[in-house]
Amino acid sequence: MPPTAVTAAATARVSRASSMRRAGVRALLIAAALVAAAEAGAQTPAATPPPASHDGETRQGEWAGRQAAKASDLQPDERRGLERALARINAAFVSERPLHLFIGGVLDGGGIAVGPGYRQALGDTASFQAHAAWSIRGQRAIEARLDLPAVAGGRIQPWLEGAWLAAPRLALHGVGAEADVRRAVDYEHRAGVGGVRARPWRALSVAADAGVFSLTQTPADPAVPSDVVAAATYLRSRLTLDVDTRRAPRYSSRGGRYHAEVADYRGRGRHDFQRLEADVQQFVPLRRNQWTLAMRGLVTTTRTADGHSAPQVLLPSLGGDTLRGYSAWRFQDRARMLTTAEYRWAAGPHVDCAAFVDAGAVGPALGEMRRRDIRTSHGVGLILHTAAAVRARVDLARSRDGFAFQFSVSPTF
Amino acid sequence: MTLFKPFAILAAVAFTVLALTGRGLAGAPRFYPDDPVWVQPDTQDASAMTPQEIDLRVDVTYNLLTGRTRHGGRAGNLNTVDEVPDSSWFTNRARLTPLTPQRVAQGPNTTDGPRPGRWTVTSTKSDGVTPGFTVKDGDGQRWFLKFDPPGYRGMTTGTEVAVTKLMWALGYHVPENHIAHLRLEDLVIGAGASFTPASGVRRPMRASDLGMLLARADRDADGSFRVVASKALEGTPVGRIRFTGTRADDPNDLVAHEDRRELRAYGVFAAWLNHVDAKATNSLDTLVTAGGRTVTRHHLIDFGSALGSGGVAPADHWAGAEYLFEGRQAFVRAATLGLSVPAWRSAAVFEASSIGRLPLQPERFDPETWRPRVPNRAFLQARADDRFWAARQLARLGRPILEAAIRAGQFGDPAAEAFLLHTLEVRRAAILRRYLPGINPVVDAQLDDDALSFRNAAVDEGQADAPTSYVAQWYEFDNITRDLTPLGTTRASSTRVGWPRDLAGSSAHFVLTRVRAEGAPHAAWRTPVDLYFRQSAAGWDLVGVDRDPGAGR
Repeated sequence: MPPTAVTAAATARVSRASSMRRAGVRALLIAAALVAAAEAGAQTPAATPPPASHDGETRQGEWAGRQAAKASDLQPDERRGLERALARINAAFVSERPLHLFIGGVLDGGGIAVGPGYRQALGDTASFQAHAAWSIRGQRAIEARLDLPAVAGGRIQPWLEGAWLAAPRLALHGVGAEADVRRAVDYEHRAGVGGVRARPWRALSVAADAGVFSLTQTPADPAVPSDVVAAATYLRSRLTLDVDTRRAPRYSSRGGRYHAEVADYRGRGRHDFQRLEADVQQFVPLRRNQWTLAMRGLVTTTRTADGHSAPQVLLPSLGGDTLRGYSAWRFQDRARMLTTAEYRWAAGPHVDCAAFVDAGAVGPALGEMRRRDIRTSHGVGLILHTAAAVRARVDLARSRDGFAFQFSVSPTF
Repeated sequence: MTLFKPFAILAAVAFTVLALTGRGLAGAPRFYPDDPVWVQPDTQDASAMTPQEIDLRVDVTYNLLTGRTRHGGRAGNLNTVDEVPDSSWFTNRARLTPLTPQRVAQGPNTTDGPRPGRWTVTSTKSDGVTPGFTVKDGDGQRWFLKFDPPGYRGMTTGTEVAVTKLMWALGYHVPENHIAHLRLEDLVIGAGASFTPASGVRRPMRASDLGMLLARADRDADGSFRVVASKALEGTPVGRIRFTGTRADDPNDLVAHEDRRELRAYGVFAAWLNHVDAKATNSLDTLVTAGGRTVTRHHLIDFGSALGSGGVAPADHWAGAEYLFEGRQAFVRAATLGLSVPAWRSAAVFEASSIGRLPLQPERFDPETWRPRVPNRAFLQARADDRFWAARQLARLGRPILEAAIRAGQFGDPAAEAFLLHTLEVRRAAILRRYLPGINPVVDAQLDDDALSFRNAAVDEGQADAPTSYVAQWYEFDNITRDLTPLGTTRASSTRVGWPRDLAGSSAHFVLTRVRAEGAPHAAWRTPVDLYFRQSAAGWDLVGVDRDPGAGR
């Protein structure tokens, strides 16, 4: 046999042996798979379990044998997988534990903020809450609030509040309807305030507060000339009146809220001002809340004495959640006006969709606003809510500036 | 090579067959001498179980995320005749003693309610809209008191009692609930009684707390309050019923809960009663002493959100129509700008302060489309045979029983009670119509000296026309090897089918007869029911029923 033939024959034998081995392995694999499948079938929860007879002769004995087998191998009853993960999320984000994760915001346009939070109930009606928060745009805040014990059957609630907030590179756009130059400002404020809220009837509340409020605003880029430099310390006092017939303040498809506020900022410098604001919201349900018409009208004015000017950050603004197609702080002036009409429709018991139109304007005074100063935006939103509170809302709005996306964990209005 | 492969495969198949049949040959008989068993006892001590609480938010979210229809296997806690034995979960109330209106009106009650007189308040709950008290009566018995929301006298309390009676009749362990009345001056604050205000900080209870809480409850003109008094369940609470899996620390808990037929069937009963709040936190497991050992008893509790009641208000318009969240539905409605309007938005309703809100036309009720607020894994696992079983249980609750349950609720509003009765009857009929014919409905089979007789549950309940004929295929059955030896086929136009000729001369100990219908109004009836009989000194005993759900899963 020539060497090549020997080699070929050997190769053929090797090949056949290899093939036989492969076939054998395949056969064993098939067998193993079939048996495994049968075992798996026998182990499916609903299938009749393999008998593990206790006395081997009766059904009751078989049942008892299985229970005895489990009794000899009891395990702690622990959740696994998704349920365990949800429990952890619940514990971290939702539970009522004193130390918790704060999720919210710091200042308009700062984006979502998170940080450690602490809350403690003190008796029936008093409580203490504090949190530190960092927003995705670098804003930082520390806030604490003490609700003192309510009196008069819970109708009168005094409180104290302290806050520090820093918003580096806050994007302002100048004052006036035509302002279009983006100017970053480093803003910071501190506040120590005490107040009281009285609720003589369920729908009516009156609140007053007073305290010290100080702020600084400086250009974020010193090289750029700016007139926004301001530092002021105020004795701030506010008085608000609310008539609220909504079913719940954080989510409602019926009723209205009628709010008026007067605020006085009085200090040593030349930045004193008063602000008046009226905010009317009305919700009209249609066809068992399948549809809701939500409307809002907001008017704010600022008054200053001769030679005084309000710091820009404290001027009324439009943008963000007030004129949703524009970024926060997009328009500022001493007066603002906003109207919003929103059509909401239920996509489920706890899911609403919304289509909205916002129109607003800013100006030196309400009477000095011009038709051409009116800016509009329109868009759609999605609202996840419980019966009494909005849990999350996202809006996508279109304006002359383009598209804007808003996310919040509270109602827009 | 080409020759070897078939051999290898043959060898594999032979190995497999041997492996499988070897186990079968060495296994247990198909039927034990004590089959069918009617009691599944708890034989192991469960005192080592540790209390577990279910967080409502986690439970709701988990079930919303995972709750979708699954095609499970046959229920795992059945006896060999396709029935649910008595257990720590369920009791066949009607098996030995017929259900009567008197029995149902009595239900789980062992007392006449809390003893009138001074009740000592030991704790309260102030969360939610309506208050709740825990009191001890003059006999030292502990009771939980719940109230009607203002303006809805009878709605929550009456619903709780009426549904409790019906769920008891259907076989579940439920608390003893009574309608009772109290006046503020009947309440005494007990030593050490605590109060948890909205702030969550527990403190000693004050007299003013009682008045403040009762201000949120419905009050009768004479100043008294109507309550539902729920007797504290026997035993120590150790957790809730999860509708999936088993408890790892309960030695007697062998069958995955979603595979327990009574829990699958609970979905049918919940649909009937519009019990939309059928969730884990409305159940309670307690450790009790039974048969000299500590075992778990599984209870369903809190039926205040059922029928027309939403517990703290009338039932939502959408109650029973959809889950809290359904992704596909939400997407469609979102995409159609709200123009896709669900039927419940415009459905006419019956509203009364005494019973709450119910659809005005119960004829539109479809048990297949009914939804609890949150998906329930056991409900979703139910097959046609489970629903058939549930429908048969419901068929036992005739009008007098429904009247007795409603009367126990003391709604005090004849017109509303009449509507409630009408609703329950119509909804029950819808369930029977849907589920009795949905599977071969041959039941109550008996084999005597010359024929097999049985009933057709769907025909007997008037939910279907009788088929043209029944066909029975007969086999001698080997209880060890499971081998079948054909004995012949017989047929009849009635529910009595004669023996095959070969059976008369057979010495068979076990006989299998496969019964199917021909000329039936429902295709499912063509799938046979397997009926196993064992010969005894007294004759032939039914020992096995296999009802294949076929396409009707």
